Amino acid sequence: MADKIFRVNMTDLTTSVEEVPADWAGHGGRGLTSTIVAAEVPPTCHPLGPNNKLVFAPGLLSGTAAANSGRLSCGAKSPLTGTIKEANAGGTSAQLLAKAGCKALIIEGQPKDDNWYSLHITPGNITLNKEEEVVGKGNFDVVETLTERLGKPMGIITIGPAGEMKMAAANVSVKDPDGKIRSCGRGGLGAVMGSKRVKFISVDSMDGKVEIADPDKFREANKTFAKALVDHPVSQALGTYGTNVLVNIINESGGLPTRNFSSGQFEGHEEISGETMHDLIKERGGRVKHNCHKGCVIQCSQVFNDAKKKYKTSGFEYESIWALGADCAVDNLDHIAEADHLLDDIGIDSIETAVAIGVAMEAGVLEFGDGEGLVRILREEVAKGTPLGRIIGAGAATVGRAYGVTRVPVVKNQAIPAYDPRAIKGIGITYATSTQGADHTMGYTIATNVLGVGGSVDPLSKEGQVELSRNLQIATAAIDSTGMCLFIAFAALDDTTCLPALIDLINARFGISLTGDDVVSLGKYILKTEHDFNTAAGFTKEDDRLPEFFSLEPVAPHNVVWDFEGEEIDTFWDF
Amino acid sequence: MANRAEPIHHLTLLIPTQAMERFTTLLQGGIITEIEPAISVGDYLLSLPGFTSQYIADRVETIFLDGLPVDDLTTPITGSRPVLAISAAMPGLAGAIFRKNSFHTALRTMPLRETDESAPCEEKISVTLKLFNMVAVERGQDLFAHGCLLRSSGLLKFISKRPQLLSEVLQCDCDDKPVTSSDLQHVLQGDMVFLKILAAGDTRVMSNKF
Ligand code: SF4
Repeated sequence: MADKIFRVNMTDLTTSVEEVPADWAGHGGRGLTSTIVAAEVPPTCHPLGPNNKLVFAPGLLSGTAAANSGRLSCGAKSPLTGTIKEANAGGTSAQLLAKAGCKALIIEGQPKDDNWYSLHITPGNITLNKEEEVVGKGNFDVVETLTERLGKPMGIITIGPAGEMKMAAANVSVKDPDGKIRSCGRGGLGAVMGSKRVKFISVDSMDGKVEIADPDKFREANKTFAKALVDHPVSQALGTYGTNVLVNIINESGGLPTRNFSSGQFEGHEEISGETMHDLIKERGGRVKHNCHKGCVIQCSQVFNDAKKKYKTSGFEYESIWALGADCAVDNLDHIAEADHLLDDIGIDSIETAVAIGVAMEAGVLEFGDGEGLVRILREEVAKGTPLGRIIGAGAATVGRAYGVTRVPVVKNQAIPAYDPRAIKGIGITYATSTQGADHTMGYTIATNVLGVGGSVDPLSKEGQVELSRNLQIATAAIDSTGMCLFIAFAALDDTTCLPALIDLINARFGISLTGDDVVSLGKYILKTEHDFNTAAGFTKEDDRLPEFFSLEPVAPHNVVWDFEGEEIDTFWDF
Repeated sequence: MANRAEPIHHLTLLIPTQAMERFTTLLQGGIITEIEPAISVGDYLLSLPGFTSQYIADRVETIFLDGLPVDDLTTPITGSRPVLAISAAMPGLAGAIFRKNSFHTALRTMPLRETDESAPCEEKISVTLKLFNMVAVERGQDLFAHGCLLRSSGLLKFISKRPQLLSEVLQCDCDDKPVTSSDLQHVLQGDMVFLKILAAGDTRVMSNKF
């Protein structure tokens, strides 16, 4: 089925299905959401006002049999950062949207009344309906109710209470193959969906299929690509321990932010490590290996059961466990899992919210280490939208301002994730320069060497570090357009067959002949498009800075500070 | 470091083979070995049961000595109480940054490796060796069969949080005399314990290679 743009105007409650403009045809995923937001959203608009637009786009390879290609990108102007934003998640919707011929879904305008609505997408058609039944419900209840109502398995994209309350840390949540939740977590895009008063989107691809220009070439390339992923040792580690395998290593390096970034090592790290989690999962009859969408061959997800061997959470990731664990000094995996479950249900970012609670702990709202208290705050305050809940739901920077805390780990208002930039400087450059606020996934370990964007200056100099971060961000932006999960990166780095096979997959899908250079150009275009949007929104190079405390407070155990000067960071945009 | 005035109990556990993987998680807390000062990281690892040059090259992708990444296996282990941590290849940009000789090493923070000038010139130094993830699973059985010295408090904490694992122990001996699992609290009162764990059916000779 030929791809179309699906558009909904929430002001006049109309829908349309449009041809894909020529300029957008070569884009998918993040490349497409950022292109559309940059083209159609006034950069100075209020993120929760009628002029912002929420855009969904499956990746270029989503909906095909390509391994690990089911990521759904969601983009808008962010209510958390004020920048352009793209967040992506697994789940079933990217594949179903692609099969329904939806290249992108654009939700614009704002209803004049207080009604809530839902959208239903089928091949070539989109309908808009008033919704009452699931309004006010948590995500798990929404998915369960809709699965029963819709009568057959469909994609569901929804917001929880946090999105309805327009909290700046609200997620857009995506149903996964088990009827659980995956999250477009960063930047508060759930609040934008809430501001459009869309509670959920259901996707029925019926018997739609993605057309492949050269099926034989595609099959061959996919075989090579999947083999490279499966054979890589990092994939084995991910399939055994999930991303939480990182706790012990990052703690050892002194880069595990602890007690609101006041130390780089957590004395309770063994209690929350990937190894301990793996043992608990096995003991309680959970699953150590699990996927967030069909076709994933790495399976970094897992099903974590509680002590009574009942499902508690899945997709239990390092960054969430770090934020709820070390950053809040909680060393009890069951409290962390309970909190993770609540965050999924409320539909709010596990990094932003947990870091916000860490800042609140520093302010004395709660003792560091009080896991039960943390769970109570989520259940009683955030989920119910009390004044404290709304302050926390507005993110770490808001908590810092409300309580007069100076150690507030944010860049462009977005919470810094699980790697202390004093101990791991290269990641600090990415936090500072990312077009979307602090985000560890913006400059991933993509094979810049294979793509021919390796460094040209001394890599050990600060200039070299900035250049490497830039090249990683360029390559990551391109990969974010394909629908691929970023965990393909390790195979792409070490196995010379992997990245060419990925490019072959795109070529076989569309009948084109992209080269590595084209991929690099795509990445550069995306970064520049996003940067231009931010500049027009009022951001300057002074916003590309880490908070002052990173330069003033040495972090134990290595007692290092962040020592990049502004001018050194500013060279990032010289390309 | 162990208070060597106290006797160190020798504890031997016999467990079902399928429980071994979960026991190897104990190694994340570290075992203590004595080495000649300034022995290289590579030579030290090679001296451990089950470690070969091939294994170290292929599987031990991430090494930290006192919290700093090691690329060069000839790096000497110095200081009075060094901590060496080893792991398989790790995900994420941070994982790539810390991998041995990685393309991304440029993104590390490089604090100077501190040398402890006040450290007395001892004949032997105590190294705490931590084994993480796949490396612990793959080499843990050999290490446990030969026996490991570790902190009693670490072992007590480990088993107190894993009652099910403890219930799977088939036989428990302390200094060659049978003890029950409820006696462990008493046995583990000292600072250190020498622990052997044998999988049922593993006939290898119990010897202390360290
Ligand atoms: S590796 Fe993990 S994040 Fe990636 S597709 Fe698989 S389950 Fe999802």
